[in-house]
Amino acid sequence: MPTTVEIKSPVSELEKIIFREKSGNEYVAASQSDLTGGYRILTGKVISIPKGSKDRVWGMRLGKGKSREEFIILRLADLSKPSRRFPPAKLPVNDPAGEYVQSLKDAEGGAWSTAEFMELAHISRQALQERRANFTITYWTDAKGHCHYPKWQFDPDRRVLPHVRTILGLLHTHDTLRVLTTFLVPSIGEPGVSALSMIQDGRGDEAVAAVRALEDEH
Amino acid sequence: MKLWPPYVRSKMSTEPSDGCQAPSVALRVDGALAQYVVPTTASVVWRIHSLNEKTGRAFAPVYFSRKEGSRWDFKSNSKHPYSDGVLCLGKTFEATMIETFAKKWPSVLAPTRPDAKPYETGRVLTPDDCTRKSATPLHLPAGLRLFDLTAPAAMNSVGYGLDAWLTATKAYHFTRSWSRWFFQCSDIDGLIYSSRPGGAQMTNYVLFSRPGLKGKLRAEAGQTRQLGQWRSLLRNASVVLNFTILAPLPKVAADE
Repeated sequence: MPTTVEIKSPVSELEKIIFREKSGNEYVAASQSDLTGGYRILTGKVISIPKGSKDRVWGMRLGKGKSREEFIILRLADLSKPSRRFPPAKLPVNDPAGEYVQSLKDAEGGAWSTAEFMELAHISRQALQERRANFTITYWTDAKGHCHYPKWQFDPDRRVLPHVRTILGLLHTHDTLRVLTTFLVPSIGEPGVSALSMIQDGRGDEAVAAVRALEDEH
Repeated sequence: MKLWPPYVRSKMSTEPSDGCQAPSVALRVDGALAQYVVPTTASVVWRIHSLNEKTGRAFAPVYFSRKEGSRWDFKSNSKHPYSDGVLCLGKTFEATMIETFAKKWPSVLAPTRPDAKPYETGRVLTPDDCTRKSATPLHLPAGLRLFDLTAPAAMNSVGYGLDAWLTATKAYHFTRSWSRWFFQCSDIDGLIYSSRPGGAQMTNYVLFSRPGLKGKLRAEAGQTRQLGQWRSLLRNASVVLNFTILAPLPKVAADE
Protein backbone atom coordinates (compact mmCIF):
# COMPACT_ATOMS: atom_id res chain seq x y z
CA MET A 1 0.00 0.00 0.00
CA PRO A 2 1.51 3.36 -0.93
CA THR A 3 2.06 5.64 1.98
CA THR A 4 3.67 8.71 0.46
CA VAL A 5 2.99 10.33 -2.86
CA GLU A 6 4.92 13.38 -3.80
CA ILE A 7 3.24 15.20 -6.67
CA LYS A 8 6.03 16.56 -8.79
CA SER A 9 4.13 18.81 -11.13
CA PRO A 10 0.60 20.17 -11.44
CA VAL A 11 -1.70 18.05 -13.52
CA SER A 12 -3.76 19.50 -16.34
CA GLU A 13 -7.40 18.51 -16.79
CA LEU A 14 -6.57 17.29 -20.29
CA GLU A 15 -3.93 14.86 -19.23
CA LYS A 16 -4.57 11.18 -19.02
CA ILE A 17 -2.93 9.59 -16.01
CA ILE A 18 -0.98 6.43 -16.52
CA PHE A 19 0.48 4.18 -13.86
CA ARG A 20 3.61 2.62 -15.21
CA GLU A 21 5.65 -0.19 -13.81
CA LYS A 22 9.12 1.05 -13.00
CA SER A 23 10.79 -2.13 -11.87
CA GLY A 24 9.66 -5.23 -10.04
CA ASN A 25 6.78 -4.20 -7.86
CA GLU A 26 7.27 -0.45 -8.07
CA TYR A 27 5.07 1.98 -9.93
CA VAL A 28 5.29 5.56 -10.91
CA ALA A 29 2.39 7.76 -11.97
CA ALA A 30 2.82 9.64 -15.20
CA SER A 31 0.64 11.55 -17.58
CA GLN A 32 0.01 11.16 -21.24
CA SER A 33 -0.72 14.51 -22.76
CA ASP A 34 -0.14 14.09 -26.46
CA LEU A 35 -0.45 11.56 -29.20
CA THR A 36 3.21 10.76 -29.45
CA GLY A 37 3.09 8.19 -26.71
CA GLY A 38 5.43 10.16 -24.50
CA TYR A 39 4.96 10.55 -20.78
CA ARG A 40 5.51 13.18 -18.15
CA ILE A 41 6.41 12.04 -14.68
CA LEU A 42 3.88 13.21 -12.10
CA THR A 43 5.16 11.59 -8.96
CA GLY A 44 8.68 12.22 -7.89
CA LYS A 45 8.73 9.16 -5.69
CA VAL A 46 8.39 5.61 -6.79
CA ILE A 47 5.52 3.90 -5.10
CA SER A 48 5.94 0.37 -3.86
CA ILE A 49 3.10 -1.91 -4.77
CA PRO A 50 2.77 -5.51 -3.61
CA LYS A 51 3.59 -8.18 -6.15
CA GLY A 52 0.71 -9.67 -8.05
CA SER A 53 -0.52 -6.37 -9.39
CA LYS A 54 2.24 -5.91 -11.93
CA ASP A 55 0.03 -6.15 -14.91
CA ARG A 56 -2.36 -3.49 -13.77
CA VAL A 57 -1.07 -0.47 -15.56
CA TRP A 58 -3.76 1.60 -17.16
CA GLY A 59 -4.85 5.10 -17.89
CA MET A 60 -8.05 6.76 -16.68
CA ARG A 61 -9.56 10.17 -16.87
CA LEU A 62 -10.34 12.09 -13.73
CA GLY A 63 -13.81 11.68 -12.26
CA LYS A 64 -15.80 14.56 -10.84
CA GLY A 65 -15.33 15.81 -7.31
CA LYS A 66 -11.66 14.93 -6.90
CA SER A 67 -8.48 16.79 -7.57
CA ARG A 68 -5.96 15.21 -9.90
CA GLU A 69 -3.59 14.75 -6.98
CA GLU A 70 -6.22 12.93 -4.93
CA PHE A 71 -7.01 10.79 -7.92
CA ILE A 72 -3.38 9.71 -8.29
CA ILE A 73 -3.17 8.75 -4.62
CA LEU A 74 -6.42 6.80 -4.79
CA ARG A 75 -5.51 4.95 -7.94
CA LEU A 76 -2.08 4.02 -6.65
CA ALA A 77 -3.71 2.64 -3.52
CA ASP A 78 -6.14 0.75 -5.71
CA LEU A 79 -3.31 -0.98 -7.54
CA SER A 80 -2.61 -3.11 -4.50
CA LYS A 81 -6.03 -4.80 -4.75
CA PRO A 82 -6.61 -7.76 -7.06
CA SER A 83 -8.18 -6.84 -10.37
CA ARG A 84 -10.84 -8.60 -12.40
CA ARG A 85 -10.59 -6.23 -15.31
CA PHE A 86 -6.87 -6.71 -15.87
CA PRO A 87 -5.95 -10.35 -15.24
CA PRO A 88 -2.25 -11.17 -15.06
CA ALA A 89 -0.69 -11.36 -18.49
CA LYS A 90 0.00 -14.88 -19.68
CA LEU A 91 3.36 -15.20 -21.31
CA PRO A 92 3.55 -17.65 -24.19
CA VAL A 93 5.24 -20.86 -23.15
CA ASN A 94 8.36 -21.91 -25.02
CA ASP A 95 8.46 -18.93 -27.36
CA PRO A 96 12.00 -18.73 -28.77
CA ALA A 97 11.33 -15.51 -30.68
CA GLY A 98 9.94 -13.82 -27.56
CA GLU A 99 12.81 -15.12 -25.46
CA TYR A 100 15.31 -13.87 -27.98
CA VAL A 101 13.81 -10.39 -28.21
CA GLN A 102 13.53 -10.14 -24.43
CA SER A 103 17.18 -11.09 -24.03
CA LEU A 104 18.13 -8.29 -26.43
CA LYS A 105 16.05 -5.79 -24.47
CA ASP A 106 17.44 -6.89 -21.11
CA ALA A 107 21.06 -6.99 -22.28
CA GLU A 108 23.75 -5.09 -20.40
CA GLY A 109 21.54 -3.66 -17.68
CA GLY A 110 18.30 -3.12 -19.59
CA ALA A 111 16.87 0.20 -20.70
CA TRP A 112 15.34 3.43 -19.46
CA SER A 113 11.85 4.43 -20.44
CA THR A 114 11.27 7.76 -22.15
CA ALA A 115 10.09 9.35 -18.92
CA GLU A 116 13.04 8.03 -16.96
CA PHE A 117 15.57 9.09 -19.53
CA MET A 118 14.04 12.55 -19.89
CA GLU A 119 14.46 13.01 -16.19
CA LEU A 120 17.95 11.55 -16.03
CA ALA A 121 19.38 13.38 -19.00
CA HIS A 122 17.35 16.58 -18.60
CA ILE A 123 16.14 16.37 -22.14
CA SER A 124 12.79 17.25 -23.65
CA ARG A 125 10.51 14.76 -25.33
CA GLN A 126 10.80 16.64 -28.58
CA ALA A 127 14.60 16.46 -28.51
CA LEU A 128 14.40 12.75 -27.84
CA GLN A 129 11.98 12.26 -30.70
CA GLU A 130 14.34 14.19 -32.95
CA ARG A 131 17.24 11.94 -31.95
CA ARG A 132 15.22 8.86 -32.78
CA ALA A 133 14.24 10.32 -36.15
CA ASN A 134 17.85 11.26 -36.93
CA PHE A 135 19.23 7.86 -35.93
CA THR A 136 21.41 9.27 -33.16
CA ILE A 137 20.05 7.21 -30.27
CA THR A 138 19.39 3.50 -29.86
CA TYR A 139 15.89 2.61 -28.78
CA TRP A 140 13.34 -0.13 -28.88
CA THR A 141 9.59 -0.04 -28.58
CA ASP A 142 7.37 -2.24 -26.46
CA ALA A 143 4.03 -3.74 -27.41
CA LYS A 144 2.29 -0.45 -26.64
CA GLY A 145 4.64 1.55 -28.80
CA HIS A 146 6.49 3.12 -25.87
CA CYS A 147 10.15 3.81 -26.44
CA HIS A 148 12.97 2.51 -24.25
CA TYR A 149 16.64 3.44 -24.40
CA PRO A 150 19.27 0.75 -23.71
CA LYS A 151 21.64 1.79 -20.95
CA TRP A 152 24.72 0.37 -22.66
CA GLN A 153 24.80 3.13 -25.28
CA PHE A 154 25.48 5.96 -22.83
CA ASP A 155 28.58 7.27 -21.12
CA PRO A 156 28.37 8.23 -17.43
CA ASP A 157 27.08 11.68 -18.47
CA ARG A 158 24.15 10.05 -20.31
CA ARG A 159 25.55 10.98 -23.69
CA VAL A 160 25.45 8.47 -26.52
CA LEU A 161 28.92 6.99 -27.11
CA PRO A 162 30.47 8.44 -30.30
CA HIS A 163 31.07 5.05 -31.95
CA VAL A 164 27.50 4.02 -31.19
CA ARG A 165 26.29 7.16 -32.95
CA THR A 166 28.50 6.45 -35.96
CA ILE A 167 27.16 2.91 -36.28
CA LEU A 168 23.58 4.14 -35.92
CA GLY A 169 24.25 6.51 -38.81
CA LEU A 170 25.56 3.64 -40.91
CA LEU A 171 22.56 1.45 -40.18
CA HIS A 172 20.11 4.30 -40.81
CA THR A 173 17.08 2.23 -39.88
CA HIS A 174 14.11 2.23 -37.53
CA ASP A 175 14.19 -1.56 -37.38
CA THR A 176 15.09 -1.61 -33.71
CA LEU A 177 15.73 -5.34 -33.70
CA ARG A 178 18.32 -4.94 -36.41
CA VAL A 179 20.01 -2.17 -34.47
CA LEU A 180 20.08 -4.19 -31.25
CA THR A 181 21.38 -7.32 -32.97
CA THR A 182 24.07 -5.32 -34.77
CA PHE A 183 25.44 -4.08 -31.45
CA LEU A 184 24.87 -7.10 -29.25
CA VAL A 185 25.21 -10.25 -31.33
CA PRO A 186 28.78 -11.57 -31.18
CA SER A 187 29.33 -11.69 -34.92
CA ILE A 188 31.98 -9.05 -35.50
CA GLY A 189 35.63 -9.91 -35.98
CA GLU A 190 36.87 -12.76 -33.86
CA PRO A 191 34.42 -15.35 -32.47
CA GLY A 192 32.38 -14.31 -29.48
CA VAL A 193 32.96 -10.58 -29.91
CA SER A 194 30.16 -8.07 -30.42
CA ALA A 195 30.35 -4.51 -31.71
CA LEU A 196 29.39 -3.27 -28.26
CA SER A 197 32.12 -5.24 -26.49
CA MET A 198 34.65 -3.86 -28.97
CA ILE A 199 33.47 -0.32 -28.27
CA GLN A 200 33.66 -0.95 -24.53
CA ASP A 201 37.20 -2.32 -24.96
CA GLY A 202 38.34 0.86 -26.69
CA ARG A 203 38.24 -0.69 -30.17
CA GLY A 204 35.37 1.41 -31.42
CA ASP A 205 37.03 2.25 -34.75
CA GLU A 206 37.39 -1.47 -35.50
CA ALA A 207 33.73 -2.03 -34.68
CA VAL A 208 32.70 0.82 -36.98
CA ALA A 209 34.88 -0.56 -39.79
CA ALA A 210 33.39 -4.04 -39.38
CA VAL A 211 29.81 -2.75 -39.46
CA ARG A 212 30.62 -0.54 -42.44
CA ALA A 213 32.03 -3.54 -44.33
CA LEU A 214 28.82 -5.47 -43.67
CA GLU A 215 26.63 -2.59 -44.77
CA ASP A 216 28.65 -1.97 -47.93
CA GLU A 217 28.04 -5.46 -49.26
CA HIS A 218 25.94 -5.38 -52.37
CA MET B 1 16.38 -21.59 -28.56
CA LYS B 2 17.23 -23.72 -31.49
CA LEU B 3 20.55 -25.50 -31.51
CA TRP B 4 23.32 -24.91 -33.95
CA PRO B 5 23.55 -27.18 -36.95
CA PRO B 6 26.70 -29.25 -37.16
CA TYR B 7 29.57 -27.16 -38.37
CA VAL B 8 32.19 -28.50 -40.68
CA ARG B 9 35.46 -27.05 -39.54
CA SER B 10 38.37 -27.16 -41.87
CA LYS B 11 41.28 -29.27 -40.72
CA MET B 12 43.59 -26.97 -42.57
CA SER B 13 45.13 -23.86 -41.20
CA THR B 14 43.17 -20.67 -41.71
CA GLU B 15 46.37 -18.69 -41.53
CA PRO B 16 47.72 -17.67 -44.92
CA SER B 17 51.25 -18.42 -45.97
CA ASP B 18 53.31 -17.56 -49.03
CA GLY B 19 52.60 -20.94 -50.58
CA CYS B 20 48.91 -20.07 -50.74
CA GLN B 21 49.44 -17.29 -53.23
CA ALA B 22 48.01 -17.98 -56.67
CA PRO B 23 50.58 -19.23 -59.14
CA SER B 24 51.99 -17.27 -62.04
CA VAL B 25 50.07 -17.07 -65.26
CA ALA B 26 52.27 -19.80 -66.74
CA LEU B 27 50.32 -22.58 -65.08
CA ARG B 28 47.04 -23.20 -66.86
CA VAL B 29 43.90 -25.13 -65.98
CA ASP B 30 44.67 -28.16 -68.02
CA GLY B 31 46.23 -31.56 -67.49
CA ALA B 32 45.53 -32.81 -63.97
CA LEU B 33 43.34 -29.85 -63.13
CA ALA B 34 41.15 -30.24 -66.21
CA GLN B 35 39.47 -33.33 -64.78
CA TYR B 36 37.85 -31.14 -62.12
CA VAL B 37 36.18 -28.87 -64.63
CA VAL B 38 32.55 -29.94 -64.83
CA PRO B 39 29.84 -28.78 -67.22
CA THR B 40 26.67 -27.37 -65.69
CA THR B 41 23.21 -28.67 -66.34
CA ALA B 42 20.32 -26.23 -66.66
CA SER B 43 19.00 -25.53 -63.17
CA VAL B 44 17.50 -22.85 -60.97
CA VAL B 45 19.93 -21.07 -58.68
CA TRP B 46 19.33 -18.27 -56.19
CA ARG B 47 20.68 -14.83 -55.61
CA ILE B 48 19.99 -12.58 -52.61
CA HIS B 49 20.72 -8.93 -53.22
CA SER B 50 20.29 -5.61 -51.47
CA LEU B 51 18.02 -2.63 -51.72
CA ASN B 52 19.23 0.50 -53.43
CA GLU B 53 18.66 3.11 -50.73
CA LYS B 54 18.55 5.93 -53.28
CA THR B 55 15.79 4.48 -55.44
CA GLY B 56 14.04 2.29 -52.88
CA ARG B 57 14.17 -0.62 -55.33
CA ALA B 58 16.25 -3.75 -55.29
CA PHE B 59 19.54 -3.75 -57.15
CA ALA B 60 19.63 -5.83 -60.31
CA PRO B 61 20.14 -9.50 -59.40
CA VAL B 62 22.73 -10.07 -62.11
CA TYR B 63 25.71 -8.03 -61.03
CA PHE B 64 29.31 -9.05 -61.48
CA SER B 65 31.13 -7.51 -58.55
CA ARG B 66 34.61 -6.08 -58.88
CA LYS B 67 34.97 -4.30 -55.56
CA GLU B 68 36.52 -6.93 -53.29
CA GLY B 69 33.41 -7.34 -51.17
CA SER B 70 33.58 -11.08 -50.72
CA ARG B 71 35.76 -14.17 -50.91
CA TRP B 72 36.07 -14.30 -54.67
CA ASP B 73 35.55 -10.85 -56.20
CA PHE B 74 38.94 -9.50 -57.10
CA LYS B 75 39.38 -5.83 -57.72
CA SER B 76 39.51 -4.76 -61.31
CA ASN B 77 41.12 -1.64 -62.65
CA SER B 78 39.34 -1.97 -65.93
CA LYS B 79 36.62 0.58 -66.64
CA HIS B 80 34.82 -1.66 -69.06
CA PRO B 81 31.66 -2.91 -67.35
CA TYR B 82 31.84 -6.41 -68.83
CA SER B 83 35.57 -6.92 -68.60
CA ASP B 84 35.74 -8.89 -65.38
CA GLY B 85 34.00 -9.48 -62.09
CA VAL B 86 32.26 -12.33 -60.30
CA LEU B 87 28.66 -13.22 -59.52
CA CYS B 88 28.00 -15.44 -56.48
CA LEU B 89 24.95 -17.68 -56.54
CA GLY B 90 23.54 -20.32 -54.23
CA LYS B 91 22.69 -23.73 -55.58
CA THR B 92 19.66 -23.67 -53.29
CA PHE B 93 17.71 -20.99 -51.47
CA GLU B 94 19.21 -22.20 -48.19
CA ALA B 95 22.75 -22.00 -49.55
CA THR B 96 22.35 -18.38 -50.56
CA MET B 97 20.63 -17.58 -47.24
CA ILE B 98 23.52 -18.87 -45.17
CA GLU B 99 26.06 -17.08 -47.37
CA THR B 100 24.19 -13.81 -46.93
CA PHE B 101 23.25 -13.89 -43.27
CA ALA B 102 25.80 -16.10 -41.53
CA LYS B 103 28.12 -13.14 -41.10
CA LYS B 104 25.44 -11.41 -39.03
CA TRP B 105 24.83 -14.43 -36.84
CA PRO B 106 26.91 -15.43 -33.82
CA SER B 107 30.07 -17.24 -34.73
CA VAL B 108 29.87 -20.99 -34.28
CA LEU B 109 33.49 -20.94 -33.20
CA ALA B 110 32.73 -18.84 -30.13
CA PRO B 111 33.08 -20.68 -26.83
CA THR B 112 29.63 -21.67 -25.62
CA ARG B 113 28.84 -20.80 -22.02
CA PRO B 114 26.03 -22.44 -20.08
CA ASP B 115 24.73 -18.99 -19.14
CA ALA B 116 24.85 -17.63 -22.69
CA LYS B 117 21.93 -15.34 -23.49
CA PRO B 118 19.66 -16.25 -26.42
CA TYR B 119 21.05 -13.39 -28.51
CA GLU B 120 24.58 -14.70 -28.01
CA THR B 121 23.82 -18.01 -29.67
CA GLY B 122 20.59 -17.67 -31.66
CA ARG B 123 20.16 -16.85 -35.33
CA VAL B 124 17.41 -14.48 -36.38
CA LEU B 125 16.07 -12.58 -39.36
CA THR B 126 14.89 -9.10 -38.46
CA PRO B 127 12.16 -7.16 -40.31
CA ASP B 128 14.85 -5.19 -42.13
CA ASP B 129 16.43 -8.40 -43.39
CA CYS B 130 13.09 -9.41 -44.88
CA THR B 131 12.41 -6.08 -46.57
CA ARG B 132 15.84 -4.69 -47.45
CA LYS B 133 17.01 -7.90 -49.06
CA SER B 134 15.48 -9.40 -52.16
CA ALA B 135 15.78 -12.85 -53.66
CA THR B 136 15.68 -13.78 -57.32
CA PRO B 137 15.70 -17.21 -58.93
CA LEU B 138 18.06 -17.33 -61.89
CA HIS B 139 18.41 -19.96 -64.58
CA LEU B 140 21.90 -21.38 -64.70
CA PRO B 141 22.55 -22.16 -68.35
CA ALA B 142 23.66 -25.63 -69.34
CA GLY B 143 27.15 -26.14 -70.63
CA LEU B 144 29.05 -23.65 -68.47
CA ARG B 145 32.41 -25.05 -67.45
CA LEU B 146 33.01 -24.67 -63.72
CA PHE B 147 36.01 -25.73 -61.68
CA ASP B 148 34.76 -27.93 -58.84
CA LEU B 149 36.52 -27.00 -55.62
CA THR B 150 34.23 -29.40 -53.74
CA ALA B 151 35.77 -32.40 -55.52
CA PRO B 152 38.09 -34.26 -53.17
CA ALA B 153 41.67 -33.16 -53.59
CA ALA B 154 41.03 -31.07 -56.68
CA MET B 155 43.83 -28.66 -55.91
CA ASN B 156 45.98 -31.36 -54.36
CA SER B 157 46.42 -32.79 -57.82
CA VAL B 158 48.87 -30.03 -58.57
CA GLY B 159 50.37 -30.09 -55.12
CA TYR B 160 48.66 -27.12 -53.53
CA GLY B 161 46.46 -28.81 -50.95
CA LEU B 162 44.16 -25.84 -50.86
CA ASP B 163 40.70 -27.29 -51.22
CA ALA B 164 39.44 -26.72 -47.71
CA TRP B 165 41.71 -23.77 -47.13
CA LEU B 166 40.28 -21.77 -50.02
CA THR B 167 36.77 -21.99 -48.68
CA ALA B 168 37.66 -21.77 -44.98
CA THR B 169 40.15 -18.97 -44.72
CA LYS B 170 39.22 -15.41 -43.98
CA ALA B 171 42.36 -14.17 -45.70
CA TYR B 172 40.36 -12.98 -48.66
CA HIS B 173 43.26 -11.36 -50.46
CA PHE B 174 44.63 -14.87 -51.09
CA THR B 175 41.34 -16.37 -52.22
CA ARG B 176 40.77 -13.40 -54.52
CA SER B 177 44.19 -13.91 -56.05
CA TRP B 178 43.16 -17.50 -56.83
CA SER B 179 39.87 -16.33 -58.28
CA ARG B 180 41.68 -13.84 -60.49
CA TRP B 181 44.07 -16.58 -61.54
CA PHE B 182 41.22 -18.88 -62.56
CA PHE B 183 39.61 -15.99 -64.44
CA GLN B 184 42.69 -14.85 -66.27
CA CYS B 185 44.52 -18.12 -66.86
CA SER B 186 41.74 -20.33 -68.06
CA ASP B 187 38.61 -20.29 -70.12
CA ILE B 188 36.43 -21.76 -67.34
CA ASP B 189 33.25 -19.90 -66.51
CA GLY B 190 33.47 -20.07 -62.74
CA LEU B 191 33.93 -22.12 -59.59
CA ILE B 192 31.86 -24.46 -57.48
CA TYR B 193 32.60 -24.22 -53.78
CA SER B 194 31.22 -25.21 -50.41
CA SER B 195 29.89 -22.56 -48.09
CA ARG B 196 32.24 -21.75 -45.21
CA PRO B 197 29.49 -21.26 -42.60
CA GLY B 198 27.10 -23.79 -44.13
CA GLY B 199 29.52 -26.64 -44.58
CA ALA B 200 29.86 -29.17 -47.37
CA GLN B 201 26.13 -29.64 -47.89
CA MET B 202 25.70 -26.02 -49.03
CA THR B 203 27.08 -25.53 -52.51
CA ASN B 204 27.58 -22.21 -54.21
CA TYR B 205 28.64 -21.02 -57.62
CA VAL B 206 30.95 -18.21 -58.64
CA LEU B 207 30.43 -17.14 -62.23
CA PHE B 208 32.98 -15.07 -64.10
CA SER B 209 31.81 -12.34 -66.43
CA ARG B 210 32.43 -14.17 -69.67
CA PRO B 211 31.07 -12.57 -72.85
CA GLY B 212 27.35 -13.09 -73.28
CA LEU B 213 26.77 -14.62 -69.86
CA LYS B 214 25.34 -11.51 -68.23
CA GLY B 215 22.78 -11.02 -70.99
CA LYS B 216 21.75 -14.67 -70.87
CA LEU B 217 21.30 -14.64 -67.10
CA ARG B 218 19.33 -11.41 -67.22
CA ALA B 219 17.06 -12.60 -69.99
CA GLU B 220 16.05 -15.70 -68.07
CA ALA B 221 15.95 -14.25 -64.57
CA GLY B 222 12.88 -14.97 -62.48
CA GLN B 223 10.91 -12.40 -60.58
CA THR B 224 12.68 -10.38 -57.91
CA ARG B 225 10.78 -10.19 -54.64
CA GLN B 226 11.53 -9.00 -51.17
CA LEU B 227 12.90 -11.83 -49.08
CA GLY B 228 9.84 -11.89 -46.82
CA GLN B 229 7.63 -12.50 -49.83
CA TRP B 230 9.19 -15.93 -50.36
CA ARG B 231 7.28 -17.15 -47.35
CA SER B 232 7.35 -20.92 -47.71
CA LEU B 233 10.96 -20.98 -48.89
CA LEU B 234 11.88 -18.84 -45.92
CA ARG B 235 10.07 -21.13 -43.50
CA ASN B 236 11.76 -24.19 -44.94
CA ALA B 237 15.12 -22.46 -44.72
CA SER B 238 14.46 -21.53 -41.09
CA VAL B 239 14.12 -25.22 -40.28
CA VAL B 240 17.17 -26.30 -42.25
CA LEU B 241 19.42 -23.49 -41.03
CA ASN B 242 17.95 -23.13 -37.53
CA PHE B 243 17.03 -19.48 -37.54
CA THR B 244 14.02 -17.64 -36.17
CA ILE B 245 12.10 -15.12 -38.25
CA LEU B 246 11.30 -12.04 -36.17
CA ALA B 247 9.35 -10.34 -38.94
CA PRO B 248 5.69 -10.67 -39.84
CA LEU B 249 5.44 -12.57 -43.11
CA PRO B 250 2.79 -11.68 -45.71
CA LYS B 251 -0.50 -13.57 -45.72
CA VAL B 252 -0.23 -14.20 -49.43
CA ALA B 253 3.17 -15.53 -50.36
CA ALA B 254 4.86 -15.27 -53.72
CA ASP B 255 5.91 -18.88 -53.72
CA GLU B 256 2.69 -20.69 -52.85
